[in-house]
Amino acid sequence: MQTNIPSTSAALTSLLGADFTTQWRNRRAVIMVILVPTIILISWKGLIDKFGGAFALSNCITIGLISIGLMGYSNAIARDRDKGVFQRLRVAPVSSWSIMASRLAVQLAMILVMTTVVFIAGSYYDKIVLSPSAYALSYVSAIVGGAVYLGLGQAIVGLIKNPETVNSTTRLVYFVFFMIGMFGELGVLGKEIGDAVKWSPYGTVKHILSSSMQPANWDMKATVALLVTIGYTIVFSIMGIKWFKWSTR
Amino acid sequence: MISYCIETENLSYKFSGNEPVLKNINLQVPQGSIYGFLGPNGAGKTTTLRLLLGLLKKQQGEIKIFNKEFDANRISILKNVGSLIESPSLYSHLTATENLEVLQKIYRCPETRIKEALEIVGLSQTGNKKAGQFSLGMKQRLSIAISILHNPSLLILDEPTNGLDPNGIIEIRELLKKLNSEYKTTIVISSHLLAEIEKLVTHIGVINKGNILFQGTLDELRWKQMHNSVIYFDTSDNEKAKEIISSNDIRILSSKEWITIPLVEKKAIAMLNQKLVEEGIEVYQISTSQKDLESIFMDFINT
Repeated sequence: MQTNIPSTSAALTSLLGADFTTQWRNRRAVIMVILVPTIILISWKGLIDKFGGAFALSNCITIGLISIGLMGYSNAIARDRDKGVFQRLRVAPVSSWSIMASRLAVQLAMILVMTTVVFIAGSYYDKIVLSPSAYALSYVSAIVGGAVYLGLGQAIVGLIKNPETVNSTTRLVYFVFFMIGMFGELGVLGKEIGDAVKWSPYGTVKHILSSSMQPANWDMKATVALLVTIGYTIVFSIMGIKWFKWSTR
Repeated sequence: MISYCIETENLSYKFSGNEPVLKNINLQVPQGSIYGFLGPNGAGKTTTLRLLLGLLKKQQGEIKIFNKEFDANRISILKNVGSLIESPSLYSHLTATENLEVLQKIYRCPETRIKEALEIVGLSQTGNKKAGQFSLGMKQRLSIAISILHNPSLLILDEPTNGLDPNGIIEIRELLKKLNSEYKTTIVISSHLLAEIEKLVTHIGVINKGNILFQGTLDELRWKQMHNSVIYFDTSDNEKAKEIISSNDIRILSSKEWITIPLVEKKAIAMLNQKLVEEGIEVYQISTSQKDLESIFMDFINT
């Protein structure tokens, strides 16, 4: 039998099908990614009058983005690399970029789903309703912000080969971002920490999201936060791509 | 002239800062053969196979597959190669059929091949069970099904019987024999156990510490086995017996306690026995010491 050279579109379609099915069947991870920001949003109902709807929504989406990039993406990559799934695909031969594009497409979809759920929860429980342009801009910012954490996840999975170590490291980093980012933003950890958090990946992503939800208030600080966010993405991605090995052996 | 499916020339490899894992490997896998690639754990088998599949970047030497230089023809070569390297690499949340569908679409081979491949490896009744719930043996079979899905001309299998029970090993052996005889598929199969692949392979390559110690047909290995076999004579007068044996153009290897000679045909043994008896020498014992293939393999490894 003559085998045809795999076409890029056929390979990508096939990989997308497999990766989306895997994501769907791995519903526990999906639920966790959506549940945590939604619960925080609902529990923050009392803070919305004080800090505003954009503050609550942007914090919750940022937390969701962190869990997608760190817990979802990096753990899935580490697990499949260890099992040799990538190795199998590369000898198929599927191009490396197709394999990664498919994985990133799944996470991109997760970002959109999580953001939508947070918006719906915000609208139903907290009566936070944005303008159509604010929603559109927020989705774009969520993708830009998500890229930072996908890049960070890539850097972690590039640096660490063992899937269990990747799992524990991402949980630790998630916890650090979650606690310091959220409480730093609230000013609970003092001024210095609060200022540092503002320019951390947590703070810049949260800032561009918050500004996107109020497009009229987009200022120079938001633009700088966007540039810093892109900078973080580039640095993390370069590190992640440079260090990444397709096999653990 | 022998046509080789795989040829390497002075293939060397080392992981950063370490001792070379492979040292000038000259592999020659004849077209249509079943080539057993033998060596203890850590000998360099998997590294060699990963280099052949382009999973490791070649550092030194040449690799030719299907008579084509690998680096320049990677895609056209790999489309005709099926492989299983180390662990079963499966999507654990997908069923056996879904796992095969992923590759079927990539290979663009007929959908009917999915059913055929599953039947060949005995997994056609797994239904909606996810690959993650399979036993190790079932995962191994599914990996083999994936590797044969597109009817490759060359199959590279790294210890494919790992985790299989004796029945599973026999089934896989029969399957590989069938693929080789019916589809003329060249098969490279690595193992650290000679006994496991002895009944399957036509050619053998023995590797240890990154060096190829033997490469040839199974018959050539058996010849080595014969060559390393000896016959012992225990008689009432070994000195006189030694003279009689020597006078028949048979080399004496040793004569301490026993007379040791190289392995000769049965008729020659009978003739020597008769002559010794005719000369009044009592023959107490004639015994043969034949090294089995496993011992020869161990000799290679321990050299």
